[in-house]
Amino acid sequence: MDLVESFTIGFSVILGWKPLLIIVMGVIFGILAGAMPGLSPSTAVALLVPFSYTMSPALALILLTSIYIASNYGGSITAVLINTPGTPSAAVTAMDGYPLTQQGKAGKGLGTALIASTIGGAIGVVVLILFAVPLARVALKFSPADYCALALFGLATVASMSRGNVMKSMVAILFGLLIKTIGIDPISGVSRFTFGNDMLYDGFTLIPALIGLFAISVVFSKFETWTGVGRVMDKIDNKLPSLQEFLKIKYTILRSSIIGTVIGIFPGAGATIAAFISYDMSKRASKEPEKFGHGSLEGVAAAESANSSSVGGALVPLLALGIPGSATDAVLLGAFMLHDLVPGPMLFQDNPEIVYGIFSALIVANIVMLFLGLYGNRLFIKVVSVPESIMYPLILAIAIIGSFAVNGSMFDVAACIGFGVVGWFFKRYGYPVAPVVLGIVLGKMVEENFRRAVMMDGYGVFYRDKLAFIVLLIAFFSFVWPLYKAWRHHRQPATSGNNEAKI
Amino acid sequence: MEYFSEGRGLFIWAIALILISSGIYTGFRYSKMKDYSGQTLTPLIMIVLSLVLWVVTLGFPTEDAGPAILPRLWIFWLILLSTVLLFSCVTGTIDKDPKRGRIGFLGIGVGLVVAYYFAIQHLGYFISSFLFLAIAMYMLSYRKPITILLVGTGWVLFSYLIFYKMLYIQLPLGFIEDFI
Repeated sequence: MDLVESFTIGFSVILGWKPLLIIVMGVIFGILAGAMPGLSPSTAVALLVPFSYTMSPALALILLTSIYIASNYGGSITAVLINTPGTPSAAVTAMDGYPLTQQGKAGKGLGTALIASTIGGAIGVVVLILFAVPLARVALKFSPADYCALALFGLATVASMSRGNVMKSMVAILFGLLIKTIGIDPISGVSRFTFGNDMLYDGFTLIPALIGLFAISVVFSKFETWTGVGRVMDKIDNKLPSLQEFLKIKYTILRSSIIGTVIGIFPGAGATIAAFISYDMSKRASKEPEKFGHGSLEGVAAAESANSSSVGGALVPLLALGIPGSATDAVLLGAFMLHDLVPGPMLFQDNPEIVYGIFSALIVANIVMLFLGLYGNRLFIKVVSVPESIMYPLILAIAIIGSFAVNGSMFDVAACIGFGVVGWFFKRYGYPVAPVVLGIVLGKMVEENFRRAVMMDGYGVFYRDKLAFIVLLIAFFSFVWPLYKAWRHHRQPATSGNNEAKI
Repeated sequence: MEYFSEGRGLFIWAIALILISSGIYTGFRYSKMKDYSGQTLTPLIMIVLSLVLWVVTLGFPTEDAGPAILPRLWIFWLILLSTVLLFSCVTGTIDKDPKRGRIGFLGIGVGLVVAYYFAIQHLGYFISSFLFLAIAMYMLSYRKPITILLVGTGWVLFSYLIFYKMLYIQLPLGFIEDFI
């Protein structure tokens, strides 16, 4: 099937009032969720998964991917206006966006963020289309050993690229992997760690675990630091950047979009790292580097185009190999599973309407985002001004009903609350929760492929299979190198007697 | 060791590990490393969890690439890395404990969510959701009764229409089931 034919199928899925309405709703919800500090794109997607249960798989995934792409832009609204990034990656946008607001140029900041996000998002989608399809074709020839090695590589890079203490990220991944071993062993049928509880025979259901770790933990953390102070928005001007100003930043947008897409492809790197790296590179390449940090349009454009383009990049390994590149991709993988779909090369063969439907929806979602951003920013700002004392109870209510709706089971609700407490505890002591989710999601892939490979060809297969061997070698160094760096970092302050050094 | 892999033996093993780790935590709490005592909690919990699950794997069938192989591999690394983190607390080469937040307030919040969970089973989803939202908003210092009423009623109507009617999710109805 050629690309034109595939896209004809893809667009036939999304052309109709229902899919278009779903894309518009997804973009609106994504922008609003992204704009609310504390709600990350992964939380936003996880909260909306329950609403997609009875939709067709194609429509459900179109809704969730529209939310994903729009929430990355949404984060920039509060970052520019009140110096409070709605998403972690928008922290970079705030560095120049908020100074623009202080100078009375909020409209220019928001306009630049919107245009850069739209172009970045579009470039990310183009790269996704160009890379995912051939990669999926190659992946058809992968053996179980290759898949096991790739999943381990994904986990190793997630740990090594995470911010903060690398060892804590690794502990979080291992915790997720261990959680995934609970239930009936998929190969031998032996019951593992169920302690006689038949509710655990299938292990913990993924979606309630995700909702607990991402959504409930955020609310619990908020309770701990509760001050009772609501959000206040000032009046803003709405003057967009001029054509001349836009032309001045066109290369910045292009360069940052490419950087963002490439970084997005690597599991674990994600939007935040993409935004930081392209901001830094744009500053080096700029004719006016002194303006960075003081309201540079280039700075806003670099951060926003990179974080939006990383979405397309991160979807490449998810769709082509079934390996999620970010926390939001892990949630999307859960949504695929919920609809009995397995992302990977076979998805391109068996369900091309889903894959190309997603591609087409991402293109349309970018256009919708541009129009909604141009005309709806004032409205979005009013909506996100809802007091936190209303928003957080509502998030809890959505989380509870969402976790119940998966299987109609109160056990899932209890598990969701339990994972919420675990997530709060992890965050409190600096353990990231996204690696836990990736461990849970990739655990099955690692185990099944590892054991299948060993049963077919023995342990030597990981040495004989060249691709698996090379990938495992890279994974090993990705795992060991940050540990070595952390160890060296420890030693220096320890020998100089400083007792308060950080890892 | 297999005696500890199930039943009474497993219970004794778990209690012993919890007592030992509580002792280690208490030791930190009342020593000059008390600023890192909170940081010892996660590694200690991970080590206890790993050791409990490890003895359980002793009861799994022993075969090549069997059901025990990967759990044991994850447990090995988890114990190793948790021990390193624990050691970092001893040497002070890890972040100090975060400032003590409003743990009491958080406790009330978590308690409210747990009460909501039990209320759903007895009062049904709709009544308990309305009560939960009203109480939670009040707890978070929201004091406009009309808005509280509107948000609670709005959510109940929304969840009834979307989840109960449209998505056919059989939400627990509690005692109102007899009246429908």
